[in-house]
Amino acid sequence: MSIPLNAYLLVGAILFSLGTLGVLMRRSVLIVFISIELMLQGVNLTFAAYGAFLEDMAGSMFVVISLTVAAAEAAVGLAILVALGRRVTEFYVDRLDTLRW
Amino acid sequence: MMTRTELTLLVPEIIVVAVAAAILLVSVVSKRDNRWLTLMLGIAGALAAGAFSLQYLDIDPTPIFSGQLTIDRFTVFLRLVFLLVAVATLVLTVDQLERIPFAEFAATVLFSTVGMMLLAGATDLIMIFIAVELMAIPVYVLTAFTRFRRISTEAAIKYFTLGAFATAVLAYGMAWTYGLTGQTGLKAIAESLPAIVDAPDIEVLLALGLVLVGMAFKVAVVPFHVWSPDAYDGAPTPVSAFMSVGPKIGAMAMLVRMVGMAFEPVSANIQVLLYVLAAASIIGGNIWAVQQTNIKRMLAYSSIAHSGYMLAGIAAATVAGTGDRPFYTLLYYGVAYALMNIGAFAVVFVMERRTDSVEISAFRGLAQTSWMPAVMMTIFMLSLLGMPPLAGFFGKLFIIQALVGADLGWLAVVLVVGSVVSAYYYLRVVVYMFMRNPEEGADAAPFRISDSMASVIFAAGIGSLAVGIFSNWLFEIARDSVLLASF
Repeated sequence: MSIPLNAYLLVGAILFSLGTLGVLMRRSVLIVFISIELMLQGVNLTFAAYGAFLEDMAGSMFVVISLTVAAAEAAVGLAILVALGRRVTEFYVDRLDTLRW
Repeated sequence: MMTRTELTLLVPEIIVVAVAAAILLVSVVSKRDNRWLTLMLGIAGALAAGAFSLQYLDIDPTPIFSGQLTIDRFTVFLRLVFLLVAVATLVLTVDQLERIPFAEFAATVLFSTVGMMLLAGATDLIMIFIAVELMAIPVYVLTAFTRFRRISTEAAIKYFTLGAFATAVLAYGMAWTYGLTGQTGLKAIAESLPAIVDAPDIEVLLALGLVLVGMAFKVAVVPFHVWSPDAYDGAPTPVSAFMSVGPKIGAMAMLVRMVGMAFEPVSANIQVLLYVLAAASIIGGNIWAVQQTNIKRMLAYSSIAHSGYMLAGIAAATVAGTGDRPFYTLLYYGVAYALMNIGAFAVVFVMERRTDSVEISAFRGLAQTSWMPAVMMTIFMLSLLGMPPLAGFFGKLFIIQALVGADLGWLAVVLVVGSVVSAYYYLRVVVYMFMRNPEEGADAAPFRISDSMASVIFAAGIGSLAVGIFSNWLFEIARDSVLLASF
């Protein structure tokens, strides 16, 4: 018995939505970063599932590329966080209020 | 198969990457901080890349790497704009910001520029994703470059978080677009969309909506703009100049490719969203800009309003029967906007170096102490406002013509009213410079501006005038770029 496509899509959508909620609702910058990764995993699962379902290479290719890009992005994000860490000790979104509109 | 022709067409990008790598190598090998050598390398690379691009100014649309990229006149035109923006940023920074390693700064600027150049030609979802990230990730780094200032790193965190979030949203939209059409090439998507769009169900709307929202974040239009004032304010001023122009025009190019190629069959479904975003940006950007006392934030909101003007041009293109006219007004607008915005930020940078302040009040009485930057700033402010015969006027005029041609008179009215509101905050800077006395205790001695900064300001000022006066000439090039492109 094979797992239907919709099951993959549903899990992907749940991962993406949980990530979105995390970005919008959590206070800690680190948790926000993790939530963005979660969103990207939802994207990857959707791409991989569609790629397998359509028997097309492009879906799997996108996943490989997206993983690479996400790694580069996370490296930059954490480096910025380290630079900020020399100025402040608590990484909460609502403490980053030097700049405000 | 990768062929020799394909590589030849990609030579400009290859040159820029090679120069960026060479700059990094030189900085590692030599112990000293070779700022001017780095700058020369950067300019030489940009000139070589520009010269190679110019050879292909008349190119017929050529898909390369199995359609990942399409080199056409649109690509070549934008490549030249991005190279110009990169050079202006490097020249502006070279003898300023003494505490940062300039070689790394220059290499990061060039990497981001390659991302923009690729994005101008990207005609496949996979390539668009790579190019947009190659454009954005170096800019996060650039924002945090003065890492000894807290606001710089804080701005970078905010920019990074929302930028990465937008990327995830964009990628999820791409996943659904791919899943529904089974294609990643923009042309192929356009061919298979009509079959599934007859019954516009939730999945199609989800795919289109997510892609558009992701792109709206990247170009910073209301209500997806909240990162941009903080990012522009916290970033070192030359970086603000760079990112208010380069990534914005790059993201606009992506939007043009997506709307003009992939989503053309469904443009009726997305145009309402585009109208709303454009009108909201014009109104919101201008109203918030009025309230700012910090000139970098004011220019940030002003650039949100300008995103709205450009988006109005894209919205006009989605109306059936307008042809591609709105797209070439957009190319013209991009050049005009690049010149006047880089110039304005350059003058702000001069003032920041002198008074250590980015408040608008720092401009009080500038004309008395130093008339040159005051006159130049007046040109940039009037051009952003849209005074004839400056570049910004013709940019707005062409977009209004396109809007009227597309029967979108109401959006043209919004644009004009927005421009009238913008007169308040642009002219306030001019009034402060010419009709107010310097603040008590302010340093009233005339001051010298470094040659590199002055050359950027002059070039941008003369450019804003020339692009306005010779608007027909540039407009025709822009028209050919779009009409003979592969939309």
